[in-house]
Amino acid sequence: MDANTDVIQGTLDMLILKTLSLEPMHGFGIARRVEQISRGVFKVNPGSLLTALTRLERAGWLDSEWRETANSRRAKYYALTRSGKRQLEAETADWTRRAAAVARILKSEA
Amino acid sequence: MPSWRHVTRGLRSLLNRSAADRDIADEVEHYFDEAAAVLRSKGLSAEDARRAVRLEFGHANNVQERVRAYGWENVVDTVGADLRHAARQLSRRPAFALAAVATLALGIGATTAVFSVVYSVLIKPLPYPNADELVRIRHSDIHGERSFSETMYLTYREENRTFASIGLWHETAGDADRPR
Repeated sequence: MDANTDVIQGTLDMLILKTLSLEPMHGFGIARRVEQISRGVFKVNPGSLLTALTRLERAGWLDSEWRETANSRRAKYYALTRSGKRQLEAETADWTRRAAAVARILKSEA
Repeated sequence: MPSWRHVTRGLRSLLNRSAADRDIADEVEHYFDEAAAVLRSKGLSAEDARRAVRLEFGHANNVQERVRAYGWENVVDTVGADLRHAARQLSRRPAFALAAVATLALGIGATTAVFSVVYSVLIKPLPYPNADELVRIRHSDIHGERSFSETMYLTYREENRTFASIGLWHETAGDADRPR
């Protein structure tokens, strides 16, 4: 099986929100953090990630800001808003409930 | 829950598409550069790092297009482009355009004419107060409709307990709107 897999459908938003709850980051920073923390299990595709960032920003869960980077380039940094934090809590609770249910089913004797 | 930002951000990029496009291009480019920088720090040459990033993510333009395609403002853009395209095509072939317009005009005209007749004959309420409470009394048996004599009308009017009142009209040529 391929070691790198795409992020599970529907969980990308939650992973982005969680990653940004640590500190504001730019797009690539988020992708890298997700890959590192998942120990390379999840690979984030830039097209999906940047689209998701736009969507989350419009939903009011993220704010964005252009900043000058160390090598005087401009990069777009994203930060979690208060309603984004609430959204993360809701999605985390929902995910935990679902994952536990799936685990129970898989462990049950058929 | 839709937020006001969907409206404002969409409008902003609709009103200044080139600035919005430049932002997306810069963001994608920055992403690719950062990815290449990580590979360079692992010992790849600048050229190899760029190629590896391209291999992994595809061409930057494709990524930009994908990000750019998000949002309701693109529907407006696309519909506008379609309309402009249609106008160009029609102006290029005026004979076809004329035939299409004539067909539409005839079709709409005929439908309107038929409807206005049907409306005035079948649908339009009669010009009396409380027109929806009006009913017509008919006499009929198994052989069909029976005529209604004047004495029968008087009997009905005296015995009436069902209607507010009963009137009689006589069909003659002429103005059918007036009660007689």
